[in-house]
Amino acid sequence: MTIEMHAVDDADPSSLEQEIVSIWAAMLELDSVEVDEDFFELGGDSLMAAELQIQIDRRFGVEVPASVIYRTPTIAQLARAVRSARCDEERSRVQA
Amino acid sequence: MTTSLTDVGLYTEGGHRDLWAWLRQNEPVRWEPLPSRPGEGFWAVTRYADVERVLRDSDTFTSEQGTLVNLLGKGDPAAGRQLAATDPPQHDRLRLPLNEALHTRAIGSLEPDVRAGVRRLLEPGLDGGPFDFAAAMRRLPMIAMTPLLGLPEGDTDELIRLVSMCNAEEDPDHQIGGDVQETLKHGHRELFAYFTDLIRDRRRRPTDDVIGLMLAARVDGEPFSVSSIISNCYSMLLGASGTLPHVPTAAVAHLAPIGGYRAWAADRDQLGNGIEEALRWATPASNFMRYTRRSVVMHGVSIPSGSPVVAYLGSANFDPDVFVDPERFDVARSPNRHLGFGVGRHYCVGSHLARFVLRILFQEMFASIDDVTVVEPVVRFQSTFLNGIKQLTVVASPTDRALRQAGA
Repeated sequence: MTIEMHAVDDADPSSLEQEIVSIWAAMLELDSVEVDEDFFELGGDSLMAAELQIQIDRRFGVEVPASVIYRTPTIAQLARAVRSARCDEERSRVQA
Repeated sequence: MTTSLTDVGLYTEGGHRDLWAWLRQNEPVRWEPLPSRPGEGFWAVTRYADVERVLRDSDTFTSEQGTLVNLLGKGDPAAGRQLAATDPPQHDRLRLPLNEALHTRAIGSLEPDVRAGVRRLLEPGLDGGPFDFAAAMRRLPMIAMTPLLGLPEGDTDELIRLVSMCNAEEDPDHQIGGDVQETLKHGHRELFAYFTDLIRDRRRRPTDDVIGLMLAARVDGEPFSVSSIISNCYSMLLGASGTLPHVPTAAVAHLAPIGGYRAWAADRDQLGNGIEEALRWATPASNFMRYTRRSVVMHGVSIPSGSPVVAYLGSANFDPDVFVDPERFDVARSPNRHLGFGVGRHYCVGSHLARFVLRILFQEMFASIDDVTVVEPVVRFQSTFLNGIKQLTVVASPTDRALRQAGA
């Protein structure tokens, strides 16, 4: 089931980005966000970044290192980190 | 006197105490313009009674728009979510679990760790060679914070580096590319990232340290938000690391050259009073900001509603209206109603822990070091907020007991 979902993401690489866009937009109270915009420049602060991280954990079922949102605060980078965390998780599941 | 309270050079040279004295006498409420933000500024109060009033009266002077001068005009993102930036009643609810953790738990169970850690810090100074006492003391808070928050020992150096960026961002030693804002931003975000990861991990594997306690705490049936726990860890670490080291360094730097260290070390009855006097003398967090919630008149000066007011605790602690002969470091001073930990609802939540660590530190120092000689010029921190010494090179004379232990 997980692998199928992953396949869907690969087929449509923007869907993950779209989901993160909607999380950001709700949190920052914005109508739209570009994938390369900076969370902090859009009005996010460190506490909101921590809350965003928790929402991403919950929504995607994987944990990405918090340094991603604090060091490279764009949707594109977050999506990349989520994909890579999913890959790692699948790999460890296959190995297990 | 035209010198500005915002001039960092004043603090580096140590001239701030003269300016405070002048203001207490001549201009107890002063409008201080911010050179970096034309048209903006703050009201500065420097007398003990006024500082106490501003800090106690949270109905008139709110903490919810930032309490640090470097946040002036920007607002505080932690407003209402982090202890220092919250007014009652939310403040009292947030404070409850921290208060409990920092009072009861800390005292008993940390003693062996703290004592062993203090001995390790002092040991390199017992060989009769030059020893940077200030550098050693920068590690002092982590000796208590590491077991208290259950932090991995290997993280200490990196945490001290990040904390210095947040606490002494005006000091070129810690700066990134010579840029104050960039330095603050880096230190701040890296610490937030650190605690975000740590707390996500602790949610899966609960621990019985302060973080575990905050995660388990319920107020009116509700858990604390993860962001408020992160924010409180951040401010606890910063609060302890930025302030505690400056208490022993200020005391030693002042007392050693006048024979006061040797005298205090020989008079064990004054351990507690002497520590209180060191707290008064050092007052590491030298000022805190509030905002007026209504217009206020102080000493005939009308302060409009919504104005920043900065209370200079460092100045209050040298107010001759309250302290007899305030320019004298008196290890026997009693009573000593200093404002080193602040006053009112925001009285330092870590005060018990700080006193506990200082007590162990001075016990261990007096047991192993008879006298101290300052052998190089003292270098002060460049900061308009934190009052402290960056470099204090000393030569210590070990006690007979320390010599016997070293020989054994």
